[in-house]
Amino acid sequence: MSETTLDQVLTQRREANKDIVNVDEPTVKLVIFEIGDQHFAFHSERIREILAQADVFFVPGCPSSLEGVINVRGDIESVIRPHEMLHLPDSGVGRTSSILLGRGGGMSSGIRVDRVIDVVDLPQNTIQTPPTTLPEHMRVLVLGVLRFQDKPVAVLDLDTMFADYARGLG
Amino acid sequence: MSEAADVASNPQSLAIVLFSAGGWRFGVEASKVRSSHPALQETANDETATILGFSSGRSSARSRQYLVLKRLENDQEVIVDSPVDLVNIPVAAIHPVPPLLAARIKLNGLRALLMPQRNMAETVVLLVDSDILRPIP
Repeated sequence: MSETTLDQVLTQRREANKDIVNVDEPTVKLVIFEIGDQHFAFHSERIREILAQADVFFVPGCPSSLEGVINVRGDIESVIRPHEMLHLPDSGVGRTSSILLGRGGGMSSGIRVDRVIDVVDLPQNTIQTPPTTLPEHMRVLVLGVLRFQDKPVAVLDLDTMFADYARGLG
Repeated sequence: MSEAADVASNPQSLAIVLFSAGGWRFGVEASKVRSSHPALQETANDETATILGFSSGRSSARSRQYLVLKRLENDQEVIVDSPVDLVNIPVAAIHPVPPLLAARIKLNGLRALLMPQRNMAETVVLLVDSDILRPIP
C-alpha cells in the first residue's frame, strides 16, 4: 500500500477546486405584487420601502388616482393609485393593501398596490421580452414578463410610470 | 389676527397666516399680509376657493374675513373663511410639494404643505402663493 502524504492530499484538493466553475447566474431582485387579479413587479432597487400601514392625508384638487400624501419619517410623499393607468378596476384600500415607496425618473412617490406577494431573487433569464400581444397601454410600461407561482407577472418600468403619470395619464 | 408684522422673526420658523376656504385650511406667508378684519357683508360665493381653482366640496364657515394682502401698488383685500390665525410654523414642518402631486393637482399657486401634527382628524394645510389670491373681477 502506497503511503499518501498530506502534501498529496492538499495538492489533490487544490486541483479539484480548480475544476469548480462558477455557474451562478446573474439574478434580479423583484418586488412582486397584485393589483386586481393581476401580478406585477418592480425591480427592487426602485423600491425604497414597503409600507403595510400608513396614514394617507387627502389633498383637495387632486385626481381620484392620487390618494393623498404620507409622512415617512419627516419626508412627504404622494401616494398614487395605478389602477386606472393599468386599466384595472379600483376597489379601494383593502385590508391587504400596501404602499410601495418608489423612485424613478428623478421622482419619488408611494404606489398603492392591493397586495405584496413576495420579494424574490430570480435568475435574470427568467424574465422574457414582453409579448407583442400586450395591450397598447401596457406596451410602454412593461419591461418584461415572467411566471411566478404559476401566474404571469409583468415587470413594470417605474421611470415611465411616473413620467406618464406626471403627464396626466392615469 | 391683527398686524402680521407683530410676529417676531425666527430663523427656525416661518410666520404663516392660516385661513379657510371651501372647507379646507390654507396658509400664506405672514410677511405678505398686512392685516385681516371681519367682512361686513356675507358673500354667497366661495370666492377664495374659486380663485384657488377648486370648487368647495365641504361646507364652509359662515363667518368671513377680509385678508389685506400687500401689493406693490395698493393693498388688496380678499375674502376668506374664518378662522384666520397667525402662527409660527417650525421650518421642519413645512414640506415641499411632492413632484407627482405638483404635476397633477388642480389647485392654483400651491407652494408647500403643512402636515397634521397630532392626529388624523386634522387635515393637510396648503400653503399658497399670496399673489394668486386676487379678487375675482
